[in-house]
Amino acid sequence: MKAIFRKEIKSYFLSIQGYIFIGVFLLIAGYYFVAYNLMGENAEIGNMLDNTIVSFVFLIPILTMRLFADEKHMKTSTVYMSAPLKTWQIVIGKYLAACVVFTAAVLLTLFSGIAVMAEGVQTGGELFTVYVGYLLIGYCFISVGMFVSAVTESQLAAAIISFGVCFILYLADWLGTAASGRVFEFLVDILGVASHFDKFLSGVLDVTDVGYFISFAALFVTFTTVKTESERYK
Amino acid sequence: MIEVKCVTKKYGKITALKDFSFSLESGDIVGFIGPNGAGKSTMMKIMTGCLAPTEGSVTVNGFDIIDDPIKAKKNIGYLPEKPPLYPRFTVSEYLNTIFDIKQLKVNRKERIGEVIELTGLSGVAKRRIGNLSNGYCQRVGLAQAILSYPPFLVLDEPTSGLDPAQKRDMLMLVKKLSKTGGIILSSHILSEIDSVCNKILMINKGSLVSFGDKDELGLKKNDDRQKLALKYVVSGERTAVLGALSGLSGICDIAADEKEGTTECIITVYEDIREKIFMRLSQNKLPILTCFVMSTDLENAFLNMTCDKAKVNKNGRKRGDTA
Repeated sequence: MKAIFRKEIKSYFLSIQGYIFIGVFLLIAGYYFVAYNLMGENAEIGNMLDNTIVSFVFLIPILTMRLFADEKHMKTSTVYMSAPLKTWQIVIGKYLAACVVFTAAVLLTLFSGIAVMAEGVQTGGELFTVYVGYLLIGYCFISVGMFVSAVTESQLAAAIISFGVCFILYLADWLGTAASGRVFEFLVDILGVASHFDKFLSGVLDVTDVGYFISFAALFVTFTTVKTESERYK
Repeated sequence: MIEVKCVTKKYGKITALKDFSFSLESGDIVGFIGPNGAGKSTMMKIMTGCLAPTEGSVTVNGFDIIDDPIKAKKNIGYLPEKPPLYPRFTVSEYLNTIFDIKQLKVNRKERIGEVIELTGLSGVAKRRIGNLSNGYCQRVGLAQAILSYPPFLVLDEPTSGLDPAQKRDMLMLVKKLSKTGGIILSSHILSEIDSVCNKILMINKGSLVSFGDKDELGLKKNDDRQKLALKYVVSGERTAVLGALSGLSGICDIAADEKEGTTECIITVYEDIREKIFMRLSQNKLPILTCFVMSTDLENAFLNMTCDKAKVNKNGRKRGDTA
């Protein structure tokens, strides 16, 4: 697992993908920080973070599209398929690498959070909670993007499909409200990843929401493992 | 030992391999030959755990490749048809990554240095793989396969894309590596297989056609298409020898050459009719000075065993072949 993790981290920074992801993300976060917190004189970092969640929809596919699709396309998947590794170790290694790059990008915005905290409106605990929720949403999107990458051989197709799926996840609660009805409420509860962030924004670390995010990510990591293992039986 | 037992592989309704069985022992260099699409690469992927068989099993030193993959895969090195390389990595970075993935517990610097030396990559160790020639890429692929010094190597067309000198070097390296374990290698170039392998595994349409020592292969009776080449040196004139043998059933072709009162002839026969030939020649008072069975060359055997009877002419060549 460690070897796959290291290989993936190296791959991100030997190619342009890692830099594009971090660069564009910081640019967007910086824009909202200036617009909301500096120009708008808002002392809560949550507003900035909440608004940047939409960027996950198109940025996270950049991070995840190559994880499996590129290996299958380049026929380098034989490296790990013939290696003395369990399939879940391969999947977790790749997942953690994407999560670490994402976390690194998010933590770079922590400077803005600390600067805002100096205003005294938000406590350290609240800042911590907001960031935990924010990271968990990202990890969910990464798990979805990784699964999509595992079901296709084309990076472009992986990126487009991930974009579509992440977009639906992001808009699920809005779509649910628009359509209304019990079935939709239920779907929103399951798919509305962004809506589970609301409590974190107000500084409440709810175990249910944390459990939801972890279960969501674990489900797609499991799907990816099953899909990768099924490649041997195709 | 790698033991392949009754392996069948189906892709949907298409059967790629049918009830395939053979074994690879330490010290063997098995040449895996067969027409395009016969199932060679599929078999190799199954042997290395990249694919699972639909039926049957593969065990490596007693460990099942599906039930006990970690232990089984530690005993195998695999070079696929297209080497699995990361173009942005340098050769050294790539081998370090493979070292980690294979979880080797030896001195990293020493082992990688040895393999780089062995595969002739010293001059390009710091270069990006994406900038290397085909020949070097193939060597890097081989380097990753042998990095753990596995007891068994599975090499899928290791010489494809190499120039003649590189091919020679690669085959010499394969021969060198066989001293420490068993190797199975596939190739379309039968002369290469002939030059390095001691056993031949022949496949056609997913089924095992023949498996055994290279020397035995030409003598094995597969079916009525199998031919034998007999070499005779007879005391007497060429015309007398040809006259004596004319009309003898079972003869496919005779090539005769007279030299200082003796006739040297190579008689290709459909079955072993040495006794009949002896009787004919002795009746015509043509003493046999020498007689031995020539092993059928690999190409002939390959055509005999993998082509339809209708497509094989008397010389053992396919219709349309010019060589």
